[in-house]
Amino acid sequence: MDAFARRVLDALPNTIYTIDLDGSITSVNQAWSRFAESNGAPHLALESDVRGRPIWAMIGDAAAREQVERAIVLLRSGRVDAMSWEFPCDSPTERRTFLLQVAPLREGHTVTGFVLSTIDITPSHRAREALIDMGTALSRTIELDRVYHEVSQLLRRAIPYDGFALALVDEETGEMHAAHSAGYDDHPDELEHRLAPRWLEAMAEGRVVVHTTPVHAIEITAPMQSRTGVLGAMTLQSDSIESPQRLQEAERVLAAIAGQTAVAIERASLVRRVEEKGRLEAIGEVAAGIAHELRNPLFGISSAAQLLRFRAREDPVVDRNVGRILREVERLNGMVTDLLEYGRPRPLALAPGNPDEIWDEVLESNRGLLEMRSLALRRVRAEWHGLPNWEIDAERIAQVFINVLVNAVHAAPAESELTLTSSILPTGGWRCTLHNGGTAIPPDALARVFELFFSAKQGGTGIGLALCHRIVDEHGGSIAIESTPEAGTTVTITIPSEEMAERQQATAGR
Amino acid sequence: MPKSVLIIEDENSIREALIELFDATDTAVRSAASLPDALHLLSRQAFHLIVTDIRLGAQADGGLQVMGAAGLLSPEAVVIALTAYPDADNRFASQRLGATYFLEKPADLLRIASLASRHGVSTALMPGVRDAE
Repeated sequence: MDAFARRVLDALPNTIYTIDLDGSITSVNQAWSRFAESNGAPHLALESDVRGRPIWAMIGDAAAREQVERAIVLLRSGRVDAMSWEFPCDSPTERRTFLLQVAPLREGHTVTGFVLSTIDITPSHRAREALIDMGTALSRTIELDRVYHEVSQLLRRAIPYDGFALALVDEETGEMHAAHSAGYDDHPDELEHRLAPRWLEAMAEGRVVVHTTPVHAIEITAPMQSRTGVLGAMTLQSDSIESPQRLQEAERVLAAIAGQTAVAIERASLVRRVEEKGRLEAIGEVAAGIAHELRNPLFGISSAAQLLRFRAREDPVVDRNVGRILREVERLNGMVTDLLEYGRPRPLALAPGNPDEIWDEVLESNRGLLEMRSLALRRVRAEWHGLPNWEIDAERIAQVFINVLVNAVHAAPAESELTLTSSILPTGGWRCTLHNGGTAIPPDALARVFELFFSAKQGGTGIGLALCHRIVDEHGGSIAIESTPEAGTTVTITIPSEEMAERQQATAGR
Repeated sequence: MPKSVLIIEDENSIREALIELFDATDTAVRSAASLPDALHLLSRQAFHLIVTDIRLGAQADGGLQVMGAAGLLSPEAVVIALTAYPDADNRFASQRLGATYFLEKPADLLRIASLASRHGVSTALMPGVRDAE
C-alpha cells in the first residue's frame, strides 16, 4: 500500500479493516487500534497483532457473523456494490449503535477481498429513536403540562442538553412567555428576557437559529410551527456539541421536535377548551332545569303570602313578615332568572361593534348606581377611529359590563374613584380594565370567582361572574380578576379582533 | 249575574291560592288540575276569564290545548296564561291561540287581580269591581 493511501486510511475516523476471500485480516487502520484499545482489547490493537487472523474471531455473536457472511456472498456475486447495516455494540459503560459498511476490493473484474468500515452512530441513532418515541408519546398526550414534560424528557435523550426552554406567544399581546424550562439556572424572568430575541428571530425567520453564549455553549432555537401558525419557539443549550456534524444534526432534530410539540400543544389546548365547554353546558342544562322547577313553588309561596297579607291587613306584624317572605321570594327569583340566563343555550347574535360604545350606554344608564355611593369614574378610552374590528353580541356584552360594574361599585369604598381603561392590543384585540380600590379578594376566593355557585360576596348567588365568563368565552375572549391589598381589584376583559376570533373558530372546528 | 272564572293549574298550592284570589261575591270559580278536566268544564259552560298554566302535568303544551279549545267553546273569554317556562315559543303560541296576557311565574297576585278587574271580574284583593265601573 502506498504511503499516501496509508496516511488517508489512518486519518479517517471510521474503523477500517480489509479481509481476503477467506476472511483473514489483511490490514487495519489507526481508528481500529484506538477502538480496540478503548474497548478493552489492547492485544488486538496493532495491525501486526491481527494481520492474518480470521475476522470471525473478532465477531463474537453468531447473528452478526452470519450477516457478514451473507454480505460477502452477495458482494462476491457482483449483484450488489456495497452493503451496510446498523448493529448494537455496547461498550462496558454505554449502549451504542454502530454502522457497518462492507464493499468488495477488486483487481480488474475479480473480487480479491473486502473492506469493512464501522462508525459509531450512537448519537444520531439515539436522536432518531427519541424522535419516534416522542411522536408516540405526544400523540397520546392531551394535557399541556404533560406535553412539556415529555418534550423535555425525550429531548434530553435525543440531544443531551444543559438548558431547555419552551416559550409560547400570548395570542392577545404578541409577547413571548416561557411556558416551561429545564436545566437553566437563570431566574425565569431573566431567562425570558435573555432568550426572547432568539425566539423572535427563529419565529420571524421560520427556521432554526444558532447562537453561542458568552460561556461558549451553543444555543439552538427552533420555531414551533403548527398548521394554524407559529405558536412559539424552543431553545436548547448545550456545551457538548463538539462537531459541525453534531450541530447540524441537533438543529434537524430540534426542528422536528419543535414541529411535533406545536401540534401537540395545539391539540391539548383544543381538548381543554372542548372539555371546559362541555362541562359548562352540562352545568347550564341542570341549572336551567332546576330553575324552572323552582318557579312554581316560588309562585305558591308568594301567592299564599299575598293572600295572608290581605286577610290580616289590620295586623302590622303579619304585614311586616309577609313583606320579608316576599322579599326573599324576589331574591330567589332573581337567582332563578340568572340561572336560566346561564343555562340558556342561546347562540350569540354577532355583529361588528365597538365595545367602548357599549360601555358608553352601560355607564349612561347606570349613572344612578355610581351616584348612590358617591363614586367617581375616570375613563381612559382606546384610540380607535376605523370601523369596528370586533364581532360582538351587544346585548350580552352589555350584560357582562353591567355585571362587573355592579360588582366594582359594591366593592369600592364610598366616595372613591373607579378607573375604566380601554386599549387596542397589537393583535387588534380590544381590552378594558375596570379598577376599584376596594378590599382585596382573598387569594383562595380569587381563584374561584368564575365558578358557578361560588360567591365571596354577602348575598351573592355565584352566577353573575360565571355568566360573564361564559359570555366572554363565547366571544373567544377572556376575563380575569386581579386583587391585592395594595392595588385593589382590577377586572380585565379582552375581546379578540374579528380575524383572531375566526382563526380560533377554525381551529376549534377542525 | 256573577262572572265565571276557570282556573287550570296542576300545582295544588297555586291552584288553591288562585281559587282563594277569585273568592268574591260576584265571581263564580271552577278549577281543573288536568287537561281532560279542563276540557270537560269548558264543554259544559262558557267562561268570562280563564287563568291557565301552560305546562299541565306531563303535557308541556297542556295550557296551549286549553286555549285552543277555549277559542271554540268560550270565544269571549279573556285568557291569562301563566308559566314557569316563559320562552319565546310559548309566548308566541299563547298569543296566536288568543291569550290576552302572558305572565311569568312567580306572578304578583295583585297584578292578576288588577288584570281581572280590568275585565270586570272581582277578586278577593279587589272586590266590588262593578261599583268602580
